[in-house]
Amino acid sequence: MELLSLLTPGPTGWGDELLIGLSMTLGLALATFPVSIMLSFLIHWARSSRRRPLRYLAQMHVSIFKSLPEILTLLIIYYQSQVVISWVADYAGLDSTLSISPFLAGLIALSLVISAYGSEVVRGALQAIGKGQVEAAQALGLSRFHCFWKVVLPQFWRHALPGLGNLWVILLKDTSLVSVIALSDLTHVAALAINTTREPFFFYLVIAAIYISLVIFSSWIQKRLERRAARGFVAGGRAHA
Amino acid sequence: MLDLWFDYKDLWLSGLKVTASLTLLAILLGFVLALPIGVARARNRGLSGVLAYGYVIFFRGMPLLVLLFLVYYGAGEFSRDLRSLGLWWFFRDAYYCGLLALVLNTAAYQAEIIRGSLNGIPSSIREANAALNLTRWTAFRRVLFPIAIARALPGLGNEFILLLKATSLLAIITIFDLMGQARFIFSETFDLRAYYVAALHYLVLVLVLEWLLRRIERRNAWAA
Amino acid sequence: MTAFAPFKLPCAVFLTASLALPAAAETLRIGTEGAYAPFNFVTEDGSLKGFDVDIGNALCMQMQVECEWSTHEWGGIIPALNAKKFDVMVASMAITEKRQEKVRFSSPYYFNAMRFAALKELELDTATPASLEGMVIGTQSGSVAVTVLQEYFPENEIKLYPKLGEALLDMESGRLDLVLESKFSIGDWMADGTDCCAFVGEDFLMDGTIGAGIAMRLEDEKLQTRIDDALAAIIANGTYDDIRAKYFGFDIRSQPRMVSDLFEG
Repeated sequence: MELLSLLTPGPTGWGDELLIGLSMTLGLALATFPVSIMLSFLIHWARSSRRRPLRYLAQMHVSIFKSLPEILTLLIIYYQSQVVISWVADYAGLDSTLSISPFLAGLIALSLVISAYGSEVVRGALQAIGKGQVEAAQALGLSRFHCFWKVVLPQFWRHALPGLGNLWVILLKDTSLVSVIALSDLTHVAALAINTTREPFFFYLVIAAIYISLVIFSSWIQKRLERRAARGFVAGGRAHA
Repeated sequence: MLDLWFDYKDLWLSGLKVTASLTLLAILLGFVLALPIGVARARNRGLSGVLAYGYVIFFRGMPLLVLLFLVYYGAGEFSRDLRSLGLWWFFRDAYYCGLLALVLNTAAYQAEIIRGSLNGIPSSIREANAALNLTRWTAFRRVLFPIAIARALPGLGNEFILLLKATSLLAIITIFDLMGQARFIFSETFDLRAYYVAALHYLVLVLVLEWLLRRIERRNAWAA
Repeated sequence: MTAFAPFKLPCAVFLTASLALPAAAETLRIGTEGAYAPFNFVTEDGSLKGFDVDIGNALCMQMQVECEWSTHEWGGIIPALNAKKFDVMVASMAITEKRQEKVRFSSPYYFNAMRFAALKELELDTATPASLEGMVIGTQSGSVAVTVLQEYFPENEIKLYPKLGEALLDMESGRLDLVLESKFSIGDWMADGTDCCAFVGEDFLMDGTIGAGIAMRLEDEKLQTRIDDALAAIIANGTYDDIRAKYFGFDIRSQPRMVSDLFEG
């Protein structure tokens, strides 16, 4: 009971700070995810491009960011991005005190990592749709954009949802790494709380429970989305097991 | 960048050793723990099924970083009790605590891989076992298990690589693995290249590992 | 006049700098660690407090600028300063030659002597390389204590922690035999409800350090003059002493002895 009082909101407990940490964790994950998916598409297209340099670049991206520990990617992006920023700022004649925040560093680093895995989810899903669909659409005279938007994408979600759901969960947990560059996410707030309360077991257990609930909730949402995306396919027996 | 490597050659090499030993130990011990959990998950019946499910949810649901802190600083908080239980020698050591967290984490992932490959074995094989009058244990030991493992290899190989990267988190609980050495050299020199040197190590390690795994997979192509 | 934003949901979360906005008042972006009581720490109401924070705010008041605080991991705080994550560091950083190659320091604003603290059960009465043989010593990664330990205690096992609080937790649990760090920070921690540990030996400064300074980027020469002037002003008008008295019942601006006197002489 004494421990629970540490979680009360307001000036005497850490409840409200943890909530804000949670919103930071969710905010980072929600901002990163769409960026990662778009990047995944770009990398997939570059990998299947006819231009060789583009293919090599995309392949390199995947190899590098699947090999480096996420925490290392994050640290390098956080401290090194300044060089790039200064260069761009000088070039554009902007104020050179511009600096990227831990949030943006987290967003960039996690997008780079998640998209390396994401490009493979995209490839798998597009393969599952099959070339025939695209050829049929082209035979009907649809433009490439129209073909992608109206024919490929609606089917894409059905095939990609399990993979994307998996990526989302990985991303959600990887956001905890930004605590090492002092972004006040859930894990960082817990560390701060422990610094004054000296109750590591309690606080880490509380945030572990929060992460687990988020993951369980995410997979529930994922199941619903999968069922929705599989409308019209279930009867044909092609629903995902 | 090479000079930074040679200046701290001994540190990098000892970091490499720690990273390699942690990864190997964790993947092997994790596999031993994952086997019963994976089989229980595949059977999905009774208490064992529920427990295995709970295990997987719990250890896959939280970030490894949090698990690591929970094991390391959590155990520190209960040092008196652990001492009276005679377990403190284990939890006192950051290396063992880190290893334990890695094993608990990877076992959950490996169990799911094993479950997937057990469930994916075609029913014709089970029928063949029945036709041959094999006992359930013999069928599992001589037929299903070897097939399941061979089929699980690509997944386990992936997990191997993910685990190698995950060991880098242990630097935060005072372990001088590759990442720990990089952090130390960075704090000594404020030279960001320390992280690039560490990155190169991981890149090479993963490439070598991938190459090895591909060779092993090719030998096991029969199971696919 | 003070803004500390880790617990406010940031609208402008992406870029931490104002795009050269002609703001009404100039803002000074101050970075600190936030995990180094009693100098800088985050309390349960989510605010940043401590001696460093009060000094920083007093300097801002003196310079008639707005303070904008942010917290950073100690291990990367110098690179963060040089990467322009903030402009001035008030974080109890000891002025050393090695650090002066990377950043510019104000004149010292106090002396942060270090001292060993040990588990009481060890019953140590001195802390010398001989008396600490075989013991495990912890400190914060990137602290000047690391240099002292490397030089005078090369035979001991040294463990480095991202935060000082983590090293102290590990001493309390018995994973560490001793911690070497700021006597003020360790003292603050020991006064706050644990009787596991006690100071051993004398306090000392690392050779070559001339106290704790406020750090800036190397090129910010003018800023250093302004900070030095403001520091001299708040010392002269008594503000400094009022702040000091809030945290310490004694003078913290007199110089302790050097480590080399202790272990070589």
